[in-house]
Amino acid sequence: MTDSIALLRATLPAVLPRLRRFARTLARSPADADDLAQGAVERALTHAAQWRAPPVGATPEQVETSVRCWMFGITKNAWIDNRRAWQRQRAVFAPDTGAEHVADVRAGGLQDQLSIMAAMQQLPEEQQLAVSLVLVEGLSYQEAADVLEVPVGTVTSRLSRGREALARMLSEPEKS
Amino acid sequence: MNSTRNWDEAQIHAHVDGELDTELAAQLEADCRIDAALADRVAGQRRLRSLLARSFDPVLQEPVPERLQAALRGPTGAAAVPIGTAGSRPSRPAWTLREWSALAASLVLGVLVGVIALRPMDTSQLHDSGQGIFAGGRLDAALTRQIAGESRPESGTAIIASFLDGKGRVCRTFSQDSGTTGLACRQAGGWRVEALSSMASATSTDQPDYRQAASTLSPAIIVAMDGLGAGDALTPEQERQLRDRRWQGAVITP
Repeated sequence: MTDSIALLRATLPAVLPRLRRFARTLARSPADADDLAQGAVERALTHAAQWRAPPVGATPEQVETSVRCWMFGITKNAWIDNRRAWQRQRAVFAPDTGAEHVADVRAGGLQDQLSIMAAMQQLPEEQQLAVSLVLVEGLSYQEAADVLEVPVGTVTSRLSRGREALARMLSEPEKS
Repeated sequence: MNSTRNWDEAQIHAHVDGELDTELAAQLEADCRIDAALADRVAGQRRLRSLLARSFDPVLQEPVPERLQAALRGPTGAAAVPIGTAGSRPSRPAWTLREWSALAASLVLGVLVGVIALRPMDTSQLHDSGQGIFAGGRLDAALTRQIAGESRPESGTAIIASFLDGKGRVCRTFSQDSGTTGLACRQAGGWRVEALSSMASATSTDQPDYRQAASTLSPAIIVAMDGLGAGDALTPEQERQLRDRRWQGAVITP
């Protein structure tokens, strides 16, 4: 068990850049994303003994994939918890301040990128996760299903709805 | 212009995601060459993927912030004394990491079982109500009156932070001069103590800095917070509002 914790610690640094990218697709701001990633690392170390190392003889790539998927799962859970707590807190305190505002959606190169980030924030939680894992992180449907703890068919249907919603938002810029 | 078959959206998505089997993928590619509308649909999905890549891939090139690197050097799980209503079990030897991990899992499920073994803590500050372990005496007073971060050396307890848990209760983490850190949540009957962690045993020779670390939270308490679905830390102003309302955090419209 101690060996697997050592292996986990040795592998985590390599996973960090993609963990940050995943967090960036979920959180509202880059700073929130790093908070999320940091929280996930802390949770992972606290629960280090729960990581199941691949069998002896696994390649470094397989070990990294295993750690990455495990970290994605922890990040997902942390993100969902934070969101719910944040929504509750908003219900208690200052109900009308800090309203979400979506970046102005306009055509153009950089604007496209800003608007897709804003559009991602508009997706229902489960579609946002499916889009992040498959379209940004490049996970296979099966890997995404494992991270999300749902059947593959659920991943593909959430993904499909997420794609449709993004395409709709990006082709019909909101006028405000 | 005529396509040889009817490709549905799911197949186009699977193709763009690299999930279509080789034979079908080759056939779809071939059909794209003779069916402009099909080719457009595939290109549209590729554009979405590349737009996402252009938006998020630059993160990979950014230097990883120091605070994240520092988090990597953090400790792995530590021993803690969980508090519960599971009745009076005999006290047990120190918890191993494996047992602690199993416990962490049960905390996540919201099932608090365990033993009471509060060596470093004055037990007059705790009482068993039958509904769980509740804060009493000076601990109760500190949880009820103090604002997080406030210096009240005479109370023997420092409140570290407050947050709302998944049930909407106000919860507060605290540390005591004895080195004990803990987590208590407000509910009917008072402050229910959800977890305690004794840092006292770690003040020994091998970790001279540990005492200082007791002013922050032990990993065990953080795990317990996770298990309760802890939200963000409340601000001092929010804490004062809640104190004025006698810590009734649960009056939240669903």
